[in-house]
Amino acid sequence: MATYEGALPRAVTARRAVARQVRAHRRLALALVLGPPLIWMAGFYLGPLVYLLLESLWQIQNYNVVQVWTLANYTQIFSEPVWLDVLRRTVVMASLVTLSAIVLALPLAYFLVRYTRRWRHLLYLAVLIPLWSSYLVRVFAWKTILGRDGLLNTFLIGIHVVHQPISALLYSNTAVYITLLQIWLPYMVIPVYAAIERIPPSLYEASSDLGARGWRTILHVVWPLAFPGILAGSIFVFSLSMGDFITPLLMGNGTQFIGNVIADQFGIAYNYPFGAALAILPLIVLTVFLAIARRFGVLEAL
Amino acid sequence: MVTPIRAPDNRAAGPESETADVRLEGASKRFGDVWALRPTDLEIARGEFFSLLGASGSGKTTTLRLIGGFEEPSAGRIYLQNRDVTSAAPYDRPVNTVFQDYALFPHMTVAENIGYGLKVKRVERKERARRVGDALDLVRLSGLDRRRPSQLSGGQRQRVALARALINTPAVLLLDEPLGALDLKLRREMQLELKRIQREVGITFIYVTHDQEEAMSMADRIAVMRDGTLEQVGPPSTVYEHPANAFVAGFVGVSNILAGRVIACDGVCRIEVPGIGPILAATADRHVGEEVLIAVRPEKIQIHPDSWAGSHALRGRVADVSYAGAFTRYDVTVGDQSFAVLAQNQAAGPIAVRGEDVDLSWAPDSTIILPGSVHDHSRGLQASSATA
Ligand SMILES: Nc1ncnc2c1ncn2[C@@H]1O[C@H](COP(=O)(O)OP(=O)(O)OP(=O)(O)O)[C@@H](O)[C@H]1O
Ligand SMILES: [Mg+2]
Repeated sequence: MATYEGALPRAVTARRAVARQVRAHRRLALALVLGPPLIWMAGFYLGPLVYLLLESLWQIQNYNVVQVWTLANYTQIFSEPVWLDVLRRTVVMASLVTLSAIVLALPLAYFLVRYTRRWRHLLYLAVLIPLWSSYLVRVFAWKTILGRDGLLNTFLIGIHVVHQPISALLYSNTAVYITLLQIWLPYMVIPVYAAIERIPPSLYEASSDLGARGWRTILHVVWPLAFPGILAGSIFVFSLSMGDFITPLLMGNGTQFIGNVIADQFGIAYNYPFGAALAILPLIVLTVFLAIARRFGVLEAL
Repeated sequence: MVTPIRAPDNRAAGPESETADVRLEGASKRFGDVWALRPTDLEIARGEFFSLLGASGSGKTTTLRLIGGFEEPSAGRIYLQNRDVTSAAPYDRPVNTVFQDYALFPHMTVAENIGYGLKVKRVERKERARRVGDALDLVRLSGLDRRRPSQLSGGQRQRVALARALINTPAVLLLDEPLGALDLKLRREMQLELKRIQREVGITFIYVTHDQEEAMSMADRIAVMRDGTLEQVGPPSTVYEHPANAFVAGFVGVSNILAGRVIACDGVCRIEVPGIGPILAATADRHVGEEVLIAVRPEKIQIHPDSWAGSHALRGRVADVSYAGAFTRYDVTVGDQSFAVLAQNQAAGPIAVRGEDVDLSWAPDSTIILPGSVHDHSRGLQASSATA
């Protein structure tokens, strides 16, 4: 496009100059706003991930990491059944925790949104408050509940259900499951609550008006509209449960989960490359999980 | 044209069922100390196009929600086709609703939205598809069945909401300001469309609106509501020509309302209005000396730029002229009273200008004497002067 700036009144040219300045500065402002988080993400998030991937392709010689390329770490994982067993056990545990969290969070969030008014925010806060306390405190709280002299045993003996304290309550996979579920449940409730709260009340009325009783409305209206929230919560709960190695350590009976074997490789065996290769495994599982979610087109709704 | 959707012919036995589809008996609704609906009796006939007209907060939606089953009345009973449904759930009533915000399910396609009621009633898939197709034809949306509500225009959404309700062949269809979100042109189109559909399916429509023109042009009968009360129920022409009180006279159309005293009645009554003069009214049965309120519609008044030869003209001065194409509105001051006058523009342009002295006249039978005494109307007069 041709411009004839010389022919324009001076005021117009001046205004254009200002506009150019603003446009240039807008880019600068954008760079200033987006720069720090981008640098943060690249430096502290993507960087370590890339480093982890690279390290998983290195090897140990004389107790030292040497940067010599190899696939040996991966062939070891896939040739020794124990590692895939650990992975499978972890995925099963994380799936159970995630499904249970859905089963608990969905009615809870639905109840909060639909049947509470004055108390709603207080009750919602009660869901969030555990997040303010330390993770370790919450794990240890379960020790005092499930332990040999714990609350549960005392109660069971008190009402004469059992005569001896049950020691199998603590230090079992069940204890790990219960603890993981309680600790990560808020991460399911929050997105599910948000999704259900966004459903306009007139949709419930419309559904009822068209002949649907309560449970059919839940099936055809609430469930599909809450699903993006359920998926978001599942991603949180599943990945948090998969990566957790403290809870199995403190509550478990020694059964190893993927987090434990990774921690062992870094902290006990000092085999960083093998630990890195093991750490890539849950990443692959999560990527597959997200890819499936994407295929169903549910990520856009988050 | 085929009419796939028809009102079900499941009349209950009994004499009233012939006429009344919907019956309120002393039904009322209170929220705290607000009467959203004061105790009300109302009957709506089968196949009638009934409109609830009223200002914001007058209780229209509440009345509709009571009939739809979304609220339970605080007192009184509600009958649908002679069945007491006072505490029946919405899914147990032969009624469907077109919601003000349409309330379409965002995660379903147009076809799924329309077929929802049938799916819930476990109508078999093939039959469902056929009836959804018919409903789409009825509201002229064929071809859009795969779209989502978010991909539709306001008018199209409104049609989906209508089809979704009609496909269940309700006895009564409730519509809460269904055209409120549409622009004027589309509104007019949809009004005609709704009338056509109502005639075709023969279902009773209860139509809430605060647009009096819409109510007048569409409804068989109108109920004018104010503060939870039905001020008047009747055919549009009756409500317009014989308003029950000053509020209705002011709310439905524009009225010039005057307070006066009957000085003589002899076939025609002479009413002395202080500061203006005597006015003739073609109603006889009024006592001499009685204080009355009278209303005159602006389009019934003739404006004479030259002095008028006939009797009982009012001499005034034009205070304002608003040209509106087909007609012109003159605001004429007579004494301390301002008269609105609407004149058709038969000649080109206005026939009087601002500041000009004119005569006003109207036929005695255009003078409406509002029923009841002035005292009854004091409340209504305040409200109507606010609307004028
Ligand atoms: N759930 C409720 N709780 C408390 N008050 C309510 C409730 N619903 C309606 N009201 C009150 O009842 C009165 C009538 O309300 P309603 O919604 O029936 O009016 P409306 O005629 O439909 O008005 P609009 O034209 O603005 O939709 C209003 O004063 C309103 O504030
Ligand atoms: Mg309303």
